Order: sequence, then structure tokens, then C-alpha cells
Amino acid sequence: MSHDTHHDGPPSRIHWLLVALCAIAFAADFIYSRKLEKGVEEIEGIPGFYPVYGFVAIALLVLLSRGLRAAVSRKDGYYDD
Amino acid sequence: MIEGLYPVLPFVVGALLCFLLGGIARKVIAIATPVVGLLGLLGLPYGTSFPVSFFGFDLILVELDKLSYLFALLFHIAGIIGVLYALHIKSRVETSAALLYAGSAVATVLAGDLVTLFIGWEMLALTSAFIVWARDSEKALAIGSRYLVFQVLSGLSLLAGLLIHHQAGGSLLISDLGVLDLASPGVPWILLAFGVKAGFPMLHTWIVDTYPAASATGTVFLSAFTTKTAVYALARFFPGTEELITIGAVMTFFPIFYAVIENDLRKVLSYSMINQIGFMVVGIGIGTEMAVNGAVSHAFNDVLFKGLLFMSMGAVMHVTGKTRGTDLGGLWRKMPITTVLCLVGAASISAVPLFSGFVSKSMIMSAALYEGHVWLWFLLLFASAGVLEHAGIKIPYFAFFAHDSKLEAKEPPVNMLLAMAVGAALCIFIGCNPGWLYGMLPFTVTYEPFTTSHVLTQVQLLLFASLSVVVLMKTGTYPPELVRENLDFDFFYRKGGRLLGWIVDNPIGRGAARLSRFILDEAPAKVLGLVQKIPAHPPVHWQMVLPGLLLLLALLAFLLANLF
Repeated sequence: MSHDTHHDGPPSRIHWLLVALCAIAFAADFIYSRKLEKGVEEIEGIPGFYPVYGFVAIALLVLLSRGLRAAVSRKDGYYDD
Repeated sequence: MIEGLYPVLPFVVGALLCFLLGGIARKVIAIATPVVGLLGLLGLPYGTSFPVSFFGFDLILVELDKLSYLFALLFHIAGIIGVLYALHIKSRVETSAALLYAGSAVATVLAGDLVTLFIGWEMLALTSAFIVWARDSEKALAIGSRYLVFQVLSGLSLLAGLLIHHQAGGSLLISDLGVLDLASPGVPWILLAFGVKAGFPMLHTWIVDTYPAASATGTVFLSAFTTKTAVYALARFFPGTEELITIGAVMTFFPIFYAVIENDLRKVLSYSMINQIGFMVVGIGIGTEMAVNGAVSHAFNDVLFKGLLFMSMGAVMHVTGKTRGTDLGGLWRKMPITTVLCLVGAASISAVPLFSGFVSKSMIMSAALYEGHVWLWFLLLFASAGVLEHAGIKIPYFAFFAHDSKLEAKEPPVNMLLAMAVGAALCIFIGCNPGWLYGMLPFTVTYEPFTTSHVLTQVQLLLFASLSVVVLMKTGTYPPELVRENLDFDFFYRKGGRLLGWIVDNPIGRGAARLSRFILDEAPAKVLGLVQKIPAHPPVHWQMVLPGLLLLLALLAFLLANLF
């Protein structure tokens, strides 16, 4: 049994609000000169580093998790037999 | 405050009274117990107190410094919240066990010597197993037993370690000990003991096995004490032990993948707990004053926000009887208060600025950079995004939003709501006034978390991670919730245990039975020339092997202690 219909449907107002907030947060990198963390200045200083890192990290996480599921998923009650 | 009161005493007396009394009296005593304990703690002087003689040992029940005070305070707060949350339950076993369990955690962190610490350590194991068993089902019995095996192994390892350490001339007094060196005799055993309780990789499976299995109220207690006592012990004895950086990094990393595919939301939170402890272990491994401060404050915050999340899932379980993502959804209309309180926990664990996780996690990550651990920093940043995905979004989304499950639901009892409200209030209070908690930390370090740059980058990370989740869901890439069993490392001992059982039952058991029949019955019978019908010996059951193995380990430890 699965519910893969959780997430369909057109984007709601909340989704558009999130997109708008993301746009503002991304733009802030070009307006505000951030104080950089010692040791990672070169990469962290690239405008858009955190947005890109956050987005890609989750995408990687989810894709790799699908792989993990393929490897470790068994039927419910696997240990009861 | 009450001067001259050992804070553990009220827990022992309270547990006894709660077991004997019922009705309103039990409720009043249950609530009063941690409060009186707290008053006792506030009356304790710094330094050594309560020396007692116990079977010829001179024990020191209390050695109070900033570190032990902070954890003891935390455990009293967690005790008060937990008891309030469980005020409606009728199980006298669970109430008494929970009070003794909280008291054991307090006893362990206040302990002034390793023997007292060991006694607290064992009491933690025993009392918490009763919380699991209090659910009173065959499954709970099996899970509680597996849990106890891990906890007893941890205890044995600690006993072995402290015996070897003592045999080699090491002091048992915590005031003498300072940081333990992994190269000295017995110390690896001590670290192993702490590692089992802290959920080190491959030793972690008891957490994800047990916490989703206890009652709604039981899990709230379980999640607060055992692992955090271990974090205390690591922070006390192993700061700056470099191996812990790697161990902690692995702990932050692998659970976030399991959390994506796990369906039982309390199991998601259990994986999340390992991930959060990973951050603390990393901080302790880095070992600088700022890193240890970060680790300790993160433990403090984690008890509050993870407790809040477990309470909100417990509330859902209490009113619907369900905790699986596939069964839940759309509850926010019926449980709006619980939803909001859960969201406060979700924001806190995700380290949203002005919520409690933000400052403590930032301290650990900044400390990593200050010590030049660049790759570690990238990894922790990845893990932080992962936390947002499973605890910040998945937990509230699948329970309260997503598709409408059409389940009958209403808000949980007032005491549950009140307990969650206290937890949420503390999460916001610490988030907005970090000075309160940070003034109590073991070291004085100036750290300014609320710089514009830092707040901006954290908000960017969280917003875009959220956007990523939405995009993955909308494109159908996000894995759907499935009713499945996801194999973890416990596969090896649960299946391996059965294999061992089969081997013991069949080749060994039958062979031994055959041999003994031959030696005891057949051979003499043949010798005597008598013919008789010989009854078959019953097969050996593998369950009987486990106590034997534990005994063997204890013997090994004893032998080793004598060798060194």
C-alpha cells in the first residue's frame, strides 16, 4: 500500500510564497556583502553558495535514499517469519 | 531550594509511593517528585558532597561542577515535562519506572566516582526496560529484551573498563580523572560502554528498535535520558578524542537517508536522534572549549525539541492509534494546537534562527572550521539540510498536512498539550534568549551567532532545501511512503542470532545430546549388557544461550582485569 498521491496537484499559494522568499534570499547575496567563515572563504564567498548547496544536498539525499530503499526495503513483518 | 537533599532520593521515594498509591495521589506525587528533586539540586554546593559507605566502598554520590549541574538540571526539566505529559496514564509500572529512570539519569551525571556512575548506568538500563515492557504485548516483551541485552552489554563493558583501569592504578574519583587517554588500560572498554548508549554506528540499532515501540508516553521518557547521559559521559571523559570526530560524522550522515524512506514517524525521529547525537559527538571530538560548549548545549536543546517532536507524535498516536506516514495526514484541522507545537519543535531542530537549535549547532560547525576541519564542515552542512528534510518538513507534513487521512481525531488531553506547550516555550525562549543557557555552559566563550551574515546564510540554506523538497515532490521524484521493513545493521544479529540459534539447536544441541546419551546411557548400558529405551533430550533453545554469553563476557572482563 502506498500513497504517492500526496504531492500532486498544481502549486498552491504557499509554494509560490516559498519561491518568492527563495528569490529574495538569493538576491540578498548580490546586495549584501557577507562576512565569510574562516577556512572556506573562497567557496563560501561565491554568491548563491548556500542556496545551491541546500538545493543540491536535498536532491542528492533523496536520490541516494531511493537507492538505499532499493537495497534494504523488505516486506512488512520481515523479522516475524 | 532545599539544602542537604540528595536530588535522587525524591525519585526513589516518589517511585515507591506511585507504585503503592493510585488515583489523584499518584498524580500529585508524580508531579511533585521531579520538582522536589530540582529544589534539592538547586541547594547543592559545587564540589564534593554526600560521601557514603557501600559494601566497603567509599562512594561519592555528588561531584557538582558546571557540566554535571547542567545535565542534572536538564534531566529534572525533562522529568517534569515527561511526568506532566504522562499524567493521564493508569499504568503504575510505567509511572514508577519512569521516575526511577529519571532519577538514575540524575544519579549518573551527579556521580563523584566511577562506581557510583556504574550503578546509575545499570539502573538506567533496568528501569528503562520496564518502560518498554509496560506496554505489555508480546512484541514489546521481545523488543524490551533486545534493548536490555544492549544496555547490559554497555554496563558490562563499563564494569570491565573500570576494573582494568583501577587494576592498573587509575583513580576512580571523577575529580582526579580529567580526560581519559584511549591508550591507557581499560579506557577503550569505557568508551565502548558509552558508545553503546550513545548509539555509535552499528551499535545504534537499539534506538530505532525500541523508541518506536514504547507507548506514546514511554518514548518521551526514553528519548530524554539514556543517550544524553552517554553524551554527558563522553563530554566529561573524552573531549578532544579525535576518533569521535569520525564516529560523530558518520552518525550525522547515514540516519538522514533512512529517515527519508522510513514510514513510521517515530522511527524517523529515532534516526533523527542518532543524527543529532552525531553533531554532539563531533563537537566533543573536536574538543575545543567552543566545540564542547556547542555539544553540551545541543544536548540540552535536543532533549527539549526532540522531546517536543516525540510528544506531538505521541499525541497523534494517542488520539488516532497510528504513527505511520501512510496512515496519517490532514490532521491540522482537527489538532491545530498540536500542529503548531509540533512546528515549533520542527523549526527548533532545523536550526531556524530564533529557535533553540540555531545557536548550538552553529557553535559546533564554527568550531569545526576554526580547527581547520573543512570537509567535516561541508558534511555537517549537508546533514543540517537533511535534518530539515526529515524532522522539519517530513514529520509535520505527513502527520498534519499532505492528503487528508479522514481519521477521527481531536486534540489530546490537556496535560499532554500543557507538556508540549512547556517544551515549545523553552525552545523559543532559548532560541530568543541564548544567554540563559549559554551562561551556564562549562566554558566561558564569546560567540556571536546572530550576525547578519550567519542568519542570512542559514535562512538561504533552509529555504532552498525546502524548495528542493517541494520540487522533488511535485515531480514525483520524492519516494512515496511505503509499509515496508527497512533493514538496518540489526539484520546481522537478528538473522545471525537465529542462525546461531539453529546451530546451537541442531548440530551442537543434537550432537551434544547424542554424545551425552552415548556417554551416560548407551555406553554403560552396552557395558552392562542391558537394553533399555532411552528418552530423547530436549533441544537447547538459543534464548538460553544469551545469558551464558553475557556471563562469558563478564568472565572475560574479569580475566582481563587480572591480566593487566
